[in-house]
Amino acid sequence: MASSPQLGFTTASGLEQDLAKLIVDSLRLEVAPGDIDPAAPLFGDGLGLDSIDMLEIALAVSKRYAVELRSENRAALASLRALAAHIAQQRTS
Amino acid sequence: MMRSTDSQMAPVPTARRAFAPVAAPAYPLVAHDSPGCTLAWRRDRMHSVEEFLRSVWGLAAQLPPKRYAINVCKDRYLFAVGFAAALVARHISLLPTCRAEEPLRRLAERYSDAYVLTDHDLDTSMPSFHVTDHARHSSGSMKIPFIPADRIAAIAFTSGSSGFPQAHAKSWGSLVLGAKALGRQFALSSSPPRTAVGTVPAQHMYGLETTIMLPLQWGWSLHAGNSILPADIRTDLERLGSPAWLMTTPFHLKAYLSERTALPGLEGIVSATMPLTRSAAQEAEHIWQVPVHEIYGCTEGGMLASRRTADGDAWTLCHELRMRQESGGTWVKGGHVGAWLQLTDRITLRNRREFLLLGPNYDLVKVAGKRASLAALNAALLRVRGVSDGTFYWPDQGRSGNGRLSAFVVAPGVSRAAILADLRRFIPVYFVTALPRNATGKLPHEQLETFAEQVRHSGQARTIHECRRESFETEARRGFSQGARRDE
Repeated sequence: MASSPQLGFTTASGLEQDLAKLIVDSLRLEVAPGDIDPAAPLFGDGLGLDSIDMLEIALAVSKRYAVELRSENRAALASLRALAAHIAQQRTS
Repeated sequence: MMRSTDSQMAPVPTARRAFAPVAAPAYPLVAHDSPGCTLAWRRDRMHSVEEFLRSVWGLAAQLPPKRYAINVCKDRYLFAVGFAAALVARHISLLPTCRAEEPLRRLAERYSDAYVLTDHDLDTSMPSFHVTDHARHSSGSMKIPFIPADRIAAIAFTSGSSGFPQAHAKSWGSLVLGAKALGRQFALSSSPPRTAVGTVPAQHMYGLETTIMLPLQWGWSLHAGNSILPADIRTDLERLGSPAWLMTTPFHLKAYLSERTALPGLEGIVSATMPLTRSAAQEAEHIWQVPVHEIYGCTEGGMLASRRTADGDAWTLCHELRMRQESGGTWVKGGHVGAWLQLTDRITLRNRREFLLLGPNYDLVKVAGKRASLAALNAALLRVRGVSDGTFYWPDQGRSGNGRLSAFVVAPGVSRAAILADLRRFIPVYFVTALPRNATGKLPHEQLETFAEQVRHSGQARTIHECRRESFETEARRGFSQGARRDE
Protein backbone atom coordinates (compact mmCIF):
# COMPACT_ATOMS: atom_id res chain seq x y z
CA MET A 1 0.00 0.00 0.00
CA ALA A 2 1.23 3.44 -0.83
CA SER A 3 1.73 5.79 2.05
CA SER A 4 -0.60 8.70 2.54
CA PRO A 5 1.35 11.85 3.29
CA GLN A 6 -1.68 13.70 4.69
CA LEU A 7 -2.65 10.94 7.06
CA GLY A 8 0.77 9.55 7.64
CA PHE A 9 0.09 5.86 7.12
CA THR A 10 2.92 3.76 5.96
CA THR A 11 1.37 0.37 6.60
CA ALA A 12 -1.94 -1.32 6.00
CA SER A 13 -2.35 -1.93 9.72
CA GLY A 14 -1.78 1.79 10.33
CA LEU A 15 -4.80 2.58 8.20
CA GLU A 16 -6.76 -0.23 9.83
CA GLN A 17 -6.03 1.24 13.27
CA ASP A 18 -6.98 4.72 12.16
CA LEU A 19 -10.17 3.40 10.62
CA ALA A 20 -11.01 1.40 13.75
CA LYS A 21 -10.69 4.56 15.82
CA LEU A 22 -12.82 6.47 13.32
CA ILE A 23 -15.57 3.82 13.51
CA VAL A 24 -15.50 3.65 17.30
CA ASP A 25 -15.58 7.44 17.57
CA SER A 26 -18.25 8.09 14.98
CA LEU A 27 -20.53 5.33 16.25
CA ARG A 28 -19.58 5.95 19.90
CA LEU A 29 -19.01 2.24 20.42
CA GLU A 30 -17.97 0.99 23.82
CA VAL A 31 -15.10 -1.09 22.55
CA ALA A 32 -11.47 -0.17 22.25
CA PRO A 33 -10.40 0.33 18.61
CA GLY A 34 -7.67 -2.25 19.16
CA ASP A 35 -10.26 -4.83 20.22
CA ILE A 36 -11.99 -4.86 16.85
CA ASP A 37 -11.00 -7.97 14.95
CA PRO A 38 -9.95 -6.63 11.53
CA ALA A 39 -11.24 -9.77 9.83
CA ALA A 40 -14.60 -9.97 11.64
CA PRO A 41 -17.78 -8.85 9.89
CA LEU A 42 -18.66 -5.23 10.67
CA PHE A 43 -22.36 -5.80 10.13
CA GLY A 44 -24.67 -8.52 11.36
CA ASP A 45 -23.03 -11.00 13.71
CA GLY A 46 -19.66 -9.27 14.10
CA LEU A 47 -19.86 -5.79 15.56
CA GLY A 48 -23.60 -5.96 15.09
CA LEU A 49 -23.85 -2.75 13.11
CA ASP A 50 -26.92 -1.93 11.04
CA SER A 51 -27.69 0.10 7.93
CA ILE A 52 -27.83 3.38 9.84
CA ASP A 53 -24.37 2.65 11.20
CA MET A 54 -23.27 1.96 7.64
CA LEU A 55 -24.44 5.45 6.68
CA GLU A 56 -22.50 6.94 9.61
CA ILE A 57 -19.38 5.05 8.57
CA ALA A 58 -19.81 6.18 4.96
CA LEU A 59 -20.02 9.81 6.09
CA ALA A 60 -17.02 9.53 8.37
CA VAL A 61 -14.96 7.80 5.66
CA SER A 62 -15.97 10.44 3.12
CA LYS A 63 -14.91 13.25 5.45
CA ARG A 64 -11.65 11.72 6.60
CA TYR A 65 -10.38 9.93 3.51
CA ALA A 66 -12.41 11.63 0.74
CA VAL A 67 -13.55 8.21 -0.42
CA GLU A 68 -17.19 7.74 -1.41
CA LEU A 69 -18.66 4.39 -0.40
CA ARG A 70 -21.34 2.70 -2.49
CA SER A 71 -23.43 -0.32 -1.68
CA GLU A 72 -22.15 -1.99 -4.86
CA ASN A 73 -18.79 -2.11 -3.03
CA ARG A 74 -20.49 -4.49 -0.62
CA ALA A 75 -17.33 -6.56 -0.29
CA ALA A 76 -15.51 -3.45 0.94
CA LEU A 77 -17.89 -3.18 3.85
CA ALA A 78 -17.41 -6.78 4.92
CA SER A 79 -14.74 -6.12 7.54
CA LEU A 80 -12.39 -3.50 8.88
CA ARG A 81 -9.58 -5.00 6.82
CA ALA A 82 -11.62 -5.04 3.60
CA LEU A 83 -12.72 -1.46 4.17
CA ALA A 84 -9.16 -0.29 4.83
CA ALA A 85 -7.98 -2.04 1.66
CA HIS A 86 -10.79 -0.44 -0.34
CA ILE A 87 -9.98 3.03 0.99
CA ALA A 88 -6.28 2.55 0.25
CA GLN A 89 -7.07 1.39 -3.29
CA GLN A 90 -9.49 4.28 -3.95
CA ARG A 91 -7.01 6.83 -2.67
CA THR A 92 -4.26 5.62 -4.93
CA SER A 93 -6.36 4.98 -8.05
CA MET B 1 -58.54 -1.23 -18.93
CA MET B 2 -60.40 -4.31 -17.70
CA ARG B 3 -61.53 -4.55 -14.15
CA SER B 4 -62.71 -7.37 -11.96
CA THR B 5 -64.84 -7.04 -8.91
CA ASP B 6 -63.80 -9.27 -6.08
CA SER B 7 -66.48 -9.14 -3.44
CA GLN B 8 -65.72 -10.61 -0.04
CA MET B 9 -69.33 -10.71 1.10
CA ALA B 10 -70.21 -14.11 2.44
CA PRO B 11 -73.31 -15.74 0.92
CA VAL B 12 -76.38 -14.52 2.77
CA PRO B 13 -79.60 -16.58 3.03
CA THR B 14 -82.29 -15.16 0.76
CA ALA B 15 -84.73 -14.45 3.58
CA ARG B 16 -82.21 -12.25 5.38
CA ARG B 17 -80.74 -10.57 2.35
CA ALA B 18 -82.92 -7.49 2.72
CA PHE B 19 -81.33 -6.86 6.12
CA ALA B 20 -77.78 -7.65 5.16
CA PRO B 21 -75.33 -4.80 5.61
CA VAL B 22 -74.33 -2.90 2.53
CA ALA B 23 -71.20 -4.38 1.04
CA ALA B 24 -68.07 -2.41 1.83
CA PRO B 25 -66.81 -0.43 -1.15
CA ALA B 26 -64.04 -1.98 -3.18
CA TYR B 27 -60.93 -0.10 -4.24
CA PRO B 28 -58.69 -0.92 -7.19
CA LEU B 29 -55.17 -2.22 -6.65
CA VAL B 30 -53.70 0.42 -8.94
CA ALA B 31 -54.89 3.81 -10.17
CA HIS B 32 -52.76 4.21 -13.29
CA ASP B 33 -54.26 5.46 -16.54
CA SER B 34 -53.22 2.59 -18.76
CA PRO B 35 -51.51 -0.83 -18.68
CA GLY B 36 -48.45 0.67 -20.33
CA CYS B 37 -47.77 3.11 -17.46
CA THR B 38 -44.59 2.61 -15.48
CA LEU B 39 -45.31 0.97 -12.16
CA ALA B 40 -41.75 0.52 -11.01
CA TRP B 41 -38.15 1.34 -11.76
CA ARG B 42 -35.70 -1.39 -10.93
CA ARG B 43 -32.11 -0.54 -11.59
CA ASP B 44 -32.20 0.47 -15.26
CA ARG B 45 -35.38 -1.34 -16.17
CA MET B 46 -39.00 -0.24 -15.94
CA HIS B 47 -41.89 -2.54 -15.11
CA SER B 48 -45.27 -1.65 -16.58
CA VAL B 49 -48.60 -1.86 -14.83
CA GLU B 50 -49.50 -4.73 -17.16
CA GLU B 51 -46.41 -6.67 -16.17
CA PHE B 52 -47.12 -6.01 -12.51
CA LEU B 53 -50.73 -7.21 -12.76
CA ARG B 54 -49.80 -10.37 -14.64
CA SER B 55 -47.17 -11.16 -12.01
CA VAL B 56 -49.63 -10.51 -9.19
CA TRP B 57 -52.32 -12.80 -10.61
CA GLY B 58 -49.73 -15.41 -11.58
CA LEU B 59 -48.15 -15.42 -8.14
CA ALA B 60 -51.50 -15.35 -6.33
CA ALA B 61 -52.50 -18.56 -8.10
CA GLN B 62 -49.41 -20.34 -6.78
CA LEU B 63 -49.31 -19.21 -3.17
CA PRO B 64 -49.66 -21.88 -0.50
CA PRO B 65 -53.15 -22.25 1.00
CA LYS B 66 -52.30 -20.45 4.21
CA ARG B 67 -53.62 -17.44 6.03
CA TYR B 68 -50.61 -15.19 6.54
CA ALA B 69 -47.74 -14.13 4.29
CA ILE B 70 -44.66 -12.83 6.09
CA ASN B 71 -43.27 -10.43 3.48
CA VAL B 72 -39.55 -9.84 4.01
CA CYS B 73 -38.72 -8.74 0.44
CA LYS B 74 -36.06 -6.04 0.30
CA ASP B 75 -36.70 -5.05 -3.31
CA ARG B 76 -39.74 -2.77 -3.23
CA TYR B 77 -41.11 -4.02 -6.56
CA LEU B 78 -40.94 -7.63 -5.42
CA PHE B 79 -42.42 -6.57 -2.08
CA ALA B 80 -45.32 -4.96 -3.97
CA VAL B 81 -45.86 -8.03 -6.17
CA GLY B 82 -45.89 -10.27 -3.08
CA PHE B 83 -48.10 -7.92 -1.09
CA ALA B 84 -50.64 -7.57 -3.91
CA ALA B 85 -50.63 -11.30 -4.69
CA ALA B 86 -51.30 -12.09 -1.03
CA LEU B 87 -54.09 -9.51 -1.03
CA VAL B 88 -55.71 -11.06 -4.09
CA ALA B 89 -55.32 -14.54 -2.55
CA ARG B 90 -56.98 -13.22 0.64
CA HIS B 91 -53.86 -13.75 2.70
CA ILE B 92 -52.86 -11.18 5.30
CA SER B 93 -49.36 -9.74 4.84
CA LEU B 94 -47.34 -9.66 8.04
CA LEU B 95 -44.75 -6.90 7.88
CA PRO B 96 -41.86 -7.60 10.27
CA THR B 97 -39.65 -4.62 10.95
CA CYS B 98 -36.64 -6.91 11.40
CA ARG B 99 -35.47 -9.69 9.08
CA ALA B 100 -33.31 -11.41 11.68
CA GLU B 101 -33.97 -15.10 12.24
CA GLU B 102 -35.10 -14.93 15.87
CA PRO B 103 -37.82 -12.26 15.46
CA LEU B 104 -39.09 -14.13 12.39
CA ARG B 105 -39.25 -17.35 14.37
CA ARG B 106 -41.24 -15.60 17.10
CA LEU B 107 -43.57 -14.16 14.49
CA ALA B 108 -44.12 -17.60 12.97
CA GLU B 109 -44.91 -18.97 16.43
CA ARG B 110 -47.53 -16.28 16.93
CA TYR B 111 -49.01 -16.75 13.45
CA SER B 112 -48.65 -20.45 12.88
CA ASP B 113 -50.54 -20.57 9.57
CA ALA B 114 -47.94 -18.47 7.81
CA TYR B 115 -45.41 -18.73 5.02
CA VAL B 116 -42.58 -16.38 4.10
CA LEU B 117 -42.47 -14.31 0.92
CA THR B 118 -38.85 -13.45 0.22
CA ASP B 119 -36.49 -12.20 -2.46
CA HIS B 120 -33.33 -13.42 -0.77
CA ASP B 121 -32.08 -16.58 0.88
CA LEU B 122 -33.23 -16.93 4.45
CA ASP B 123 -31.88 -19.13 7.17
CA THR B 124 -35.26 -20.37 8.32
CA SER B 125 -37.17 -23.60 8.64
CA MET B 126 -40.43 -21.83 7.82
CA PRO B 127 -42.09 -22.55 4.48
CA SER B 128 -40.64 -19.93 2.16
CA PHE B 129 -41.74 -18.72 -1.23
CA HIS B 130 -39.27 -16.90 -3.47
CA VAL B 131 -41.08 -14.00 -5.13
CA THR B 132 -38.15 -13.57 -7.52
CA ASP B 133 -38.89 -16.88 -9.23
CA HIS B 134 -42.51 -15.98 -9.84
CA ALA B 135 -42.40 -12.28 -10.58
CA ARG B 136 -42.17 -12.59 -14.35
CA HIS B 137 -45.42 -14.19 -15.29
CA SER B 138 -46.63 -13.49 -18.75
CA SER B 139 -49.64 -15.78 -18.51
CA GLY B 140 -51.42 -14.09 -15.57
CA SER B 141 -54.46 -11.91 -16.09
CA MET B 142 -54.05 -8.18 -16.53
CA LYS B 143 -57.34 -7.32 -14.88
CA ILE B 144 -57.16 -4.76 -12.11
CA PRO B 145 -58.29 -6.44 -8.89
CA PHE B 146 -60.89 -4.54 -6.88
CA ILE B 147 -60.37 -5.33 -3.22
CA PRO B 148 -63.12 -4.84 -0.61
CA ALA B 149 -62.25 -1.98 1.72
CA ASP B 150 -62.80 -4.04 4.84
CA ARG B 151 -60.41 -6.84 3.90
CA ILE B 152 -57.41 -6.96 6.25
CA ALA B 153 -54.47 -6.36 3.96
CA ALA B 154 -51.58 -6.20 6.37
CA ILE B 155 -50.48 -6.35 9.96
CA ALA B 156 -47.80 -3.85 10.92
CA PHE B 157 -45.84 -4.05 14.15
CA THR B 158 -44.58 -1.58 16.73
CA SER B 159 -42.33 -2.34 19.67
CA GLY B 160 -45.25 -1.63 21.99
CA SER B 161 -45.22 -0.36 25.54
CA SER B 162 -45.31 -3.93 26.84
CA GLY B 163 -41.97 -4.68 25.25
CA PHE B 164 -43.55 -7.22 22.88
CA PRO B 165 -44.26 -6.28 19.27
CA GLN B 166 -47.78 -4.98 19.02
CA ALA B 167 -49.80 -5.92 15.98
CA HIS B 168 -51.80 -3.32 14.09
CA ALA B 169 -54.19 -4.65 11.47
CA LYS B 170 -54.61 -2.51 8.37
CA SER B 171 -57.65 -2.89 6.14
CA TRP B 172 -57.25 -2.31 2.42
CA GLY B 173 -59.66 0.60 2.73
CA SER B 174 -57.57 2.33 5.41
CA LEU B 175 -54.42 1.92 3.31
CA VAL B 176 -56.09 3.29 0.18
CA LEU B 177 -57.69 6.24 1.99
CA GLY B 178 -54.37 6.91 3.73
CA ALA B 179 -52.57 7.05 0.38
CA LYS B 180 -55.21 9.40 -1.02
CA ALA B 181 -54.94 11.61 2.06
CA LEU B 182 -51.17 11.69 1.70
CA GLY B 183 -51.40 12.90 -1.88
CA ARG B 184 -53.99 15.55 -1.05
CA GLN B 185 -51.96 16.75 1.91
CA PHE B 186 -48.97 17.53 -0.31
CA ALA B 187 -51.07 18.57 -3.32
CA LEU B 188 -49.39 15.84 -5.36
CA SER B 189 -50.03 15.55 -9.05
CA SER B 190 -50.31 12.40 -11.15
CA SER B 191 -49.52 14.17 -14.36
CA PRO B 192 -46.83 13.59 -15.29
CA PRO B 193 -46.32 10.58 -13.00
CA ARG B 194 -43.59 10.89 -10.41
CA THR B 195 -41.42 8.24 -8.80
CA ALA B 196 -41.32 7.61 -5.07
CA VAL B 197 -37.80 6.88 -3.87
CA GLY B 198 -37.46 5.73 -0.26
CA THR B 199 -34.84 5.17 2.39
CA VAL B 200 -37.33 3.46 4.72
CA PRO B 201 -38.22 -0.25 4.35
CA ALA B 202 -41.62 -1.07 2.87
CA GLN B 203 -42.32 -3.13 5.99
CA HIS B 204 -42.52 0.02 8.12
CA MET B 205 -45.89 1.76 8.12
CA TYR B 206 -44.34 5.01 6.90
CA GLY B 207 -42.47 3.16 4.16
CA LEU B 208 -45.57 1.21 3.16
CA GLU B 209 -47.66 4.38 2.93
CA THR B 210 -45.19 6.54 1.03
CA THR B 211 -43.20 4.11 -1.13
CA ILE B 212 -45.82 1.44 -1.96
CA MET B 213 -49.40 2.65 -1.41
CA LEU B 214 -48.83 6.20 -2.64
CA PRO B 215 -47.41 5.10 -6.04
CA LEU B 216 -50.11 2.43 -6.46
CA GLN B 217 -52.95 4.83 -5.68
CA TRP B 218 -51.66 7.98 -7.39
CA GLY B 219 -50.57 6.40 -10.65
CA TRP B 220 -46.93 6.99 -9.74
CA SER B 221 -43.95 4.69 -10.09
CA LEU B 222 -42.16 3.15 -7.19
CA HIS B 223 -38.41 2.87 -7.05
CA ALA B 224 -37.47 -0.69 -6.17
CA GLY B 225 -34.14 0.18 -4.57
CA ASN B 226 -33.20 0.48 -0.94
CA SER B 227 -30.34 2.90 -1.22
CA ILE B 228 -29.32 4.93 1.76
CA LEU B 229 -25.71 5.88 1.01
CA PRO B 230 -25.40 9.37 -0.53
CA ALA B 231 -23.61 8.10 -3.67
CA ASP B 232 -26.28 5.43 -4.21
CA ILE B 233 -29.20 7.84 -3.86
CA ARG B 234 -27.57 10.23 -6.29
CA THR B 235 -27.08 7.42 -8.85
CA ASP B 236 -30.68 6.21 -8.40
CA LEU B 237 -32.02 9.68 -9.13
CA GLU B 238 -29.71 10.18 -12.10
CA ARG B 239 -31.01 6.97 -13.69
CA LEU B 240 -34.70 7.77 -13.21
CA GLY B 241 -36.74 8.89 -16.15
CA SER B 242 -39.24 10.90 -14.17
CA PRO B 243 -39.27 13.55 -11.44
CA ALA B 244 -38.96 12.01 -8.01
CA TRP B 245 -39.93 12.49 -4.39
CA LEU B 246 -37.66 11.27 -1.65
CA MET B 247 -39.37 9.58 1.32
CA THR B 248 -36.81 9.66 4.06
CA THR B 249 -35.99 10.38 7.71
CA PRO B 250 -34.21 13.26 9.47
CA PHE B 251 -31.28 10.95 10.03
CA HIS B 252 -30.77 10.22 6.34
CA LEU B 253 -31.53 13.81 5.37
CA LYS B 254 -28.88 15.09 7.75
CA ALA B 255 -26.34 12.79 6.08
CA TYR B 256 -27.22 14.02 2.58
CA LEU B 257 -27.06 17.59 3.83
CA SER B 258 -23.62 17.12 5.31
CA GLU B 259 -22.38 15.56 2.08
CA ARG B 260 -24.16 18.15 -0.07
CA THR B 261 -25.35 15.17 -2.10
CA ALA B 262 -26.60 16.12 -5.57
CA LEU B 263 -30.22 14.98 -5.92
CA PRO B 264 -31.06 15.52 -9.61
CA GLY B 265 -34.72 15.54 -10.64
CA LEU B 266 -35.95 15.79 -7.09
CA GLU B 267 -39.31 17.50 -6.71
CA GLY B 268 -40.05 17.09 -3.03
CA ILE B 269 -38.90 15.54 0.22
CA VAL B 270 -41.02 13.87 2.87
CA SER B 271 -39.59 13.18 6.30
CA ALA B 272 -40.94 11.19 9.22
CA THR B 273 -40.06 8.85 12.13
CA MET B 274 -38.40 11.50 14.33
CA PRO B 275 -38.51 15.29 14.60
CA LEU B 276 -36.82 17.27 11.85
CA THR B 277 -35.29 20.56 12.95
CA ARG B 278 -36.44 23.68 11.21
CA SER B 279 -32.85 24.63 10.37
CA ALA B 280 -32.28 21.27 8.63
CA ALA B 281 -35.53 21.69 6.69
CA GLN B 282 -34.58 25.22 5.65
CA GLU B 283 -31.12 24.13 4.60
CA ALA B 284 -32.57 21.25 2.57
CA GLU B 285 -35.07 23.55 0.84
CA HIS B 286 -32.27 25.96 0.06
CA ILE B 287 -29.82 23.38 -1.29
CA TRP B 288 -32.20 21.26 -3.34
CA GLN B 289 -34.83 23.93 -4.04
CA VAL B 290 -37.72 21.60 -3.20
CA PRO B 291 -40.38 21.63 -0.47
CA VAL B 292 -39.61 19.54 2.62
CA HIS B 293 -42.75 18.14 4.22
CA GLU B 294 -42.75 16.42 7.57
CA ILE B 295 -45.32 13.81 8.53
CA TYR B 296 -46.76 13.31 11.97
CA GLY B 297 -48.33 9.92 12.41
CA CYS B 298 -48.22 6.57 14.13
CA THR B 299 -48.37 2.93 13.13
CA GLU B 300 -51.90 2.66 14.51
CA GLY B 301 -53.30 5.55 12.47
CA GLY B 302 -50.77 6.12 9.71
CA MET B 303 -50.21 9.71 8.63
CA LEU B 304 -52.28 12.11 10.72
CA ALA B 305 -50.89 15.53 9.89
CA SER B 306 -48.04 17.28 8.14
CA ARG B 307 -46.19 20.54 8.06
CA ARG B 308 -43.75 22.31 5.84
CA THR B 309 -41.13 22.40 8.57
CA ALA B 310 -39.21 25.36 7.17
CA ASP B 311 -42.33 27.53 7.49
CA GLY B 312 -43.39 26.93 11.06
CA ASP B 313 -44.12 24.61 13.95
CA ALA B 314 -47.85 24.06 13.43
CA TRP B 315 -49.10 20.77 12.03
CA THR B 316 -52.02 20.64 9.63
CA LEU B 317 -54.37 17.76 10.25
CA CYS B 318 -55.26 15.58 7.25
CA HIS B 319 -58.39 16.97 5.66
CA GLU B 320 -60.60 13.96 6.39
CA LEU B 321 -59.64 13.70 10.06
CA ARG B 322 -61.08 15.30 13.17
CA MET B 323 -59.24 15.91 16.42
CA ARG B 324 -60.62 16.48 19.90
CA GLN B 325 -59.23 16.77 23.39
CA GLU B 326 -60.78 15.34 26.48
CA SER B 327 -59.48 14.65 29.99
CA GLY B 328 -55.99 15.66 29.03
CA GLY B 329 -55.86 13.27 26.09
CA THR B 330 -56.01 13.93 22.36
CA TRP B 331 -58.11 11.82 20.02
CA VAL B 332 -58.35 11.62 16.27
CA LYS B 333 -60.90 9.95 13.97
CA GLY B 334 -62.29 9.78 10.46
CA GLY B 335 -60.92 9.02 6.99
CA HIS B 336 -58.25 6.33 7.00
CA VAL B 337 -58.05 6.33 10.82
CA GLY B 338 -61.64 5.18 11.35
CA ALA B 339 -62.90 5.20 14.96
CA TRP B 340 -61.48 7.50 17.65
CA LEU B 341 -57.81 6.80 18.28
CA GLN B 342 -56.01 8.21 21.31
CA LEU B 343 -52.61 9.77 20.67
CA THR B 344 -49.75 9.44 23.10
CA ASP B 345 -48.19 12.84 22.41
CA ARG B 346 -48.92 16.07 24.23
CA ILE B 347 -50.75 18.33 21.83
CA THR B 348 -52.15 21.87 21.85
CA LEU B 349 -54.96 22.52 19.41
CA ARG B 350 -54.73 25.88 17.67
CA ASN B 351 -57.94 25.47 15.75
CA ARG B 352 -59.88 22.66 14.12
CA ARG B 353 -57.15 21.93 11.61
CA GLU B 354 -53.91 23.03 13.23
CA PHE B 355 -52.05 21.89 16.32
CA LEU B 356 -48.69 22.02 18.05
CA LEU B 357 -46.80 19.03 19.37
CA LEU B 358 -45.50 19.89 22.83
CA GLY B 359 -41.95 18.80 23.23
CA PRO B 360 -40.10 16.46 20.94
CA ASN B 361 -40.78 12.80 20.77
CA TYR B 362 -38.42 11.09 23.17
CA ASP B 363 -39.69 7.62 22.57
CA LEU B 364 -37.44 6.37 19.79
CA VAL B 365 -33.94 5.67 21.01
CA LYS B 366 -31.01 3.66 19.81
CA VAL B 367 -29.61 0.93 22.01
CA ALA B 368 -26.69 -1.19 20.92
CA GLY B 369 -27.19 -0.41 17.28
CA LYS B 370 -30.93 -1.12 17.36
CA ARG B 371 -33.76 1.34 17.57
CA ALA B 372 -35.97 0.67 20.56
CA SER B 373 -38.92 2.29 22.20
CA LEU B 374 -38.25 4.14 25.43
CA ALA B 375 -41.67 3.07 26.62
CA ALA B 376 -40.78 -0.56 25.96
CA LEU B 377 -37.50 -0.24 27.83
CA ASN B 378 -39.27 1.42 30.75
CA ALA B 379 -41.84 -1.35 30.82
CA ALA B 380 -39.08 -3.98 30.89
CA LEU B 381 -37.32 -2.13 33.69
CA LEU B 382 -40.47 -1.97 35.79
CA ARG B 383 -41.04 -5.71 35.38
CA VAL B 384 -37.82 -6.50 37.20
CA ARG B 385 -38.70 -7.89 40.63
CA GLY B 386 -38.13 -5.33 43.37
CA VAL B 387 -37.96 -2.30 41.13
CA SER B 388 -40.51 0.08 42.57
CA ASP B 389 -39.85 2.90 40.15
CA GLY B 390 -37.50 3.55 37.31
CA THR B 391 -37.07 5.27 34.04
CA PHE B 392 -34.76 5.49 31.12
CA TYR B 393 -33.46 8.88 30.24
CA TRP B 394 -32.18 10.17 26.95
CA PRO B 395 -30.31 13.45 27.28
CA ASP B 396 -31.11 16.17 24.79
CA GLN B 397 -27.77 15.92 23.08
CA GLY B 398 -28.59 12.24 22.52
CA ARG B 399 -30.92 13.22 19.77
CA SER B 400 -28.08 14.87 17.97
CA GLY B 401 -25.98 11.81 18.53
CA ASN B 402 -23.69 12.73 21.40
CA GLY B 403 -25.43 11.38 24.46
CA ARG B 404 -25.98 7.99 26.01
CA LEU B 405 -29.14 6.43 27.22
CA SER B 406 -29.23 6.15 31.01
CA ALA B 407 -31.48 4.46 33.52
CA PHE B 408 -32.52 5.66 36.97
CA VAL B 409 -33.79 2.91 39.22
CA VAL B 410 -35.52 2.86 42.62
CA ALA B 411 -34.95 -0.67 43.90
CA PRO B 412 -34.15 -0.90 47.62
CA GLY B 413 -32.69 -4.26 48.56
CA VAL B 414 -32.43 -5.59 45.03
CA SER B 415 -29.07 -6.68 43.69
CA ARG B 416 -27.63 -4.81 40.81
CA ALA B 417 -27.09 -8.13 39.11
CA ALA B 418 -30.79 -8.89 38.95
CA ILE B 419 -31.47 -5.58 37.32
CA LEU B 420 -28.44 -5.38 35.14
CA ALA B 421 -28.99 -8.81 33.72
CA ASP B 422 -31.76 -7.21 31.74
CA LEU B 423 -30.03 -4.13 30.59
CA ARG B 424 -27.91 -3.84 27.57
CA ARG B 425 -24.25 -3.23 28.14
CA PHE B 426 -24.23 0.24 26.70
CA ILE B 427 -26.60 1.73 29.26
CA PRO B 428 -25.18 3.45 32.33
CA VAL B 429 -27.29 2.72 35.41
CA TYR B 430 -27.65 5.12 38.32
CA PHE B 431 -29.22 3.94 41.57
CA VAL B 432 -31.22 6.74 43.14
CA THR B 433 -33.57 7.05 46.08
CA ALA B 434 -36.45 8.68 44.23
CA LEU B 435 -37.33 10.16 40.88
CA PRO B 436 -38.29 13.83 40.50
CA ARG B 437 -41.93 13.08 39.77
CA ASN B 438 -44.36 15.97 39.92
CA ALA B 439 -47.63 16.12 41.84
CA THR B 440 -49.45 14.15 39.16
CA GLY B 441 -46.80 11.45 39.16
CA LYS B 442 -45.37 12.49 35.81
CA LEU B 443 -41.72 13.00 34.98
CA PRO B 444 -41.36 16.29 33.10
CA HIS B 445 -38.40 16.02 30.76
CA GLU B 446 -36.98 19.38 31.82
CA GLN B 447 -36.93 18.25 35.45
CA LEU B 448 -35.30 14.99 34.46
CA GLU B 449 -32.59 16.96 32.65
CA THR B 450 -31.67 18.85 35.81
CA PHE B 451 -31.92 15.71 37.90
CA ALA B 452 -29.65 13.82 35.52
CA GLU B 453 -27.07 16.56 35.72
CA GLN B 454 -27.13 16.48 39.52
CA VAL B 455 -26.90 12.70 39.76
CA ARG B 456 -23.99 12.53 37.36
CA HIS B 457 -22.00 15.00 39.38
CA SER B 458 -22.90 13.59 42.77
CA GLY B 459 -20.61 10.59 42.59
CA GLN B 460 -23.45 8.12 42.37
CA ALA B 461 -22.65 7.45 38.79
CA ARG B 462 -21.33 4.03 38.01
CA THR B 463 -20.30 3.11 34.57
CA ILE B 464 -21.85 0.08 33.06
CA HIS B 465 -18.44 -1.58 33.00
CA GLU B 466 -18.25 -1.48 36.79
CA CYS B 467 -21.81 -2.71 37.06
CA ARG B 468 -21.30 -5.49 34.58
CA ARG B 469 -18.21 -6.71 36.34
CA GLU B 470 -20.07 -6.85 39.61
CA SER B 471 -22.99 -8.45 37.89
CA PHE B 472 -20.90 -11.23 36.38
CA GLU B 473 -19.06 -11.84 39.66
CA THR B 474 -22.31 -12.07 41.59
CA GLU B 475 -23.86 -14.37 39.04
CA ALA B 476 -20.77 -16.57 39.03
CA ARG B 477 -20.91 -16.95 42.79
CA ARG B 478 -24.59 -17.79 42.86
CA GLY B 479 -24.66 -19.84 39.74
CA PHE B 480 -27.25 -18.88 37.19
CA SER B 481 -30.09 -17.23 38.99
CA GLN B 482 -33.35 -16.69 37.29
CA GLY B 483 -32.93 -13.31 35.74
CA ALA B 484 -35.81 -11.09 34.85
CA ARG B 485 -37.06 -11.47 31.37
CA ARG B 486 -35.37 -9.52 28.64
CA ASP B 487 -37.46 -8.13 25.90
CA GLU B 488 -36.15 -6.35 22.88
